[in-house]
Amino acid sequence: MPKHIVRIIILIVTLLTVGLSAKAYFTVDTFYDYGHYRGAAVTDIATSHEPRYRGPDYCKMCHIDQHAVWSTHGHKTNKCEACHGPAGQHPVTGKLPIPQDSVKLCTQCHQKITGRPAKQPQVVPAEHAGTMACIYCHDPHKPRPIRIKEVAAK
Amino acid sequence: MDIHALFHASPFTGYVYPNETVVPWSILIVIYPYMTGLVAGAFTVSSLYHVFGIERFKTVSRFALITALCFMVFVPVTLLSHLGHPERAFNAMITPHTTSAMAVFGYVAAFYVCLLALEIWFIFREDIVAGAKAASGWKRHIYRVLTLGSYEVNETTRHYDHKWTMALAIIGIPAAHGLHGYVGFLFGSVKAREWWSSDLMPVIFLFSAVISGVAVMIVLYAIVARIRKMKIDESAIKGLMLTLWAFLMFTVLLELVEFGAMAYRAREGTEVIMEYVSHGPMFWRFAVIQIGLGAFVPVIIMSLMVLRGTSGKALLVGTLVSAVLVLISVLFMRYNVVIGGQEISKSMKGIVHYEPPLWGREGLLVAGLILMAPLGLYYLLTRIFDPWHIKTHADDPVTY
Repeated sequence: MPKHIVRIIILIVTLLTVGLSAKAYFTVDTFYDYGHYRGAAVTDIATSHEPRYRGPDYCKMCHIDQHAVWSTHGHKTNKCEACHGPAGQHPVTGKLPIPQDSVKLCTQCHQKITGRPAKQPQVVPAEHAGTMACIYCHDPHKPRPIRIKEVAAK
Repeated sequence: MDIHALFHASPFTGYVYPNETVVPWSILIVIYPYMTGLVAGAFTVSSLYHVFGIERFKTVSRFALITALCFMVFVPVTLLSHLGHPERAFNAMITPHTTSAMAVFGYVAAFYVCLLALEIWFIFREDIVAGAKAASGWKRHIYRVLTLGSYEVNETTRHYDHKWTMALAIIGIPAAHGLHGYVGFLFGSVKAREWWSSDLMPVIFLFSAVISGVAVMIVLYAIVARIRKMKIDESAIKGLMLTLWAFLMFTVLLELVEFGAMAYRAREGTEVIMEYVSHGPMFWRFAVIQIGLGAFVPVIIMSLMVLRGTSGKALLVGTLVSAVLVLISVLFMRYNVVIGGQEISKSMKGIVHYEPPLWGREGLLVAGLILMAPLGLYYLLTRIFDPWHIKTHADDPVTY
């Protein structure tokens, strides 16, 4: 067999070996244990504490006023942690966020889009209030009635 | 949730499902089957000489192989830029799912690229050895690496090269066509979309791949001959024209049979499709450009040329015009399949109107650049592998 044939065969075999080794090397441990996924992912997800939601009753222990307003108004089906993030070990681990960009937050549910149920209040932000922030008129804990008196006073 | 995604909502008429107002498979997914088709077609041209021994194609057989490789290199680029996270593509190779057609064909595509490169290496081996001895500068280094340290050229090596080339070319036929048939297979398997769900889809994709590949060979051959001031081999052009003519007639027939079957079968919602084709945007894209201008006109031109025995300049011009029309037709066919299928709502009661954007990752500009990139690669590759300088016999086909 001529020299170049031997060498090309060696090259092909080498490349195949490198390819298969790379495949074996980059396949993460426990990948095929239970099926076509990383087996260890099951326990990883089950034992992970992030994000950990505590529910409105946990918040109520301190934030009694806010809870009282929220639980009697339109947003009562929308849990505290949906906007403020998962409580986890709060307050030990620090403050929870108070959303700053209310337009970005509110439009996640109230942006007018095709197929959103008609009974859901929906707006086109630019037409509805120009560049004004939602919280200027709407208190997120008490979306209605809007703060007409307060707005008029300003 | 990425609310920005919602701002790309397309306008629509009738009743469509809300998630259908975003068209996820964009113009890049149109270019992808188009380019694989060019690869399969160009490879067919080279196989007609290397495997089936049709002498007419000797001049363009090497050119066809180099063109196929150039396009093949850029085929994955369309998918990678569409995905947005190109590094994740390797997961499909590292842990392929055997029930996923896309994952399996990652391997088929990789196999085909290797096969193509190997076949080119065998065909150009004598040129590489000659280059390693004669060339100077950077070229010499490239040639020397490519020889793999063996400068041996004699009857024995020729015999071996010849056998390997033949074997690779034979394996390459199912590989190249399987590679393209699978694209049609993917679309044809989508049961929920009446516009796609057809067993003829893989066959239509294959035939249109062959015609687009032959057409691109004709156009590129004419352009390269012009630039290099070469004399065009009329017999090769005539052969390409006959191949294009024959396959084009089958392609048009299959496309019409598929459409006819869909219309005649008249399953639920076919009225929307018929309205879409007769009054909607599809009228121009499908009936006028893809079928009328892009398929019937070239069939008529080429039939007339065959009947009259046209030769010389008239043959070249007629073939070139037909080839350009076929290239446009196949591009529109890909567009009509990929975008068209997504424009017809699964509610079967409405149509989404998609306008491809010019800018951005999924825009016309990027798609055009990827489509043109193989020509740049062709320029670079032919500095090393000159497809026009045929003096060796390594790629002669066997005589039957």
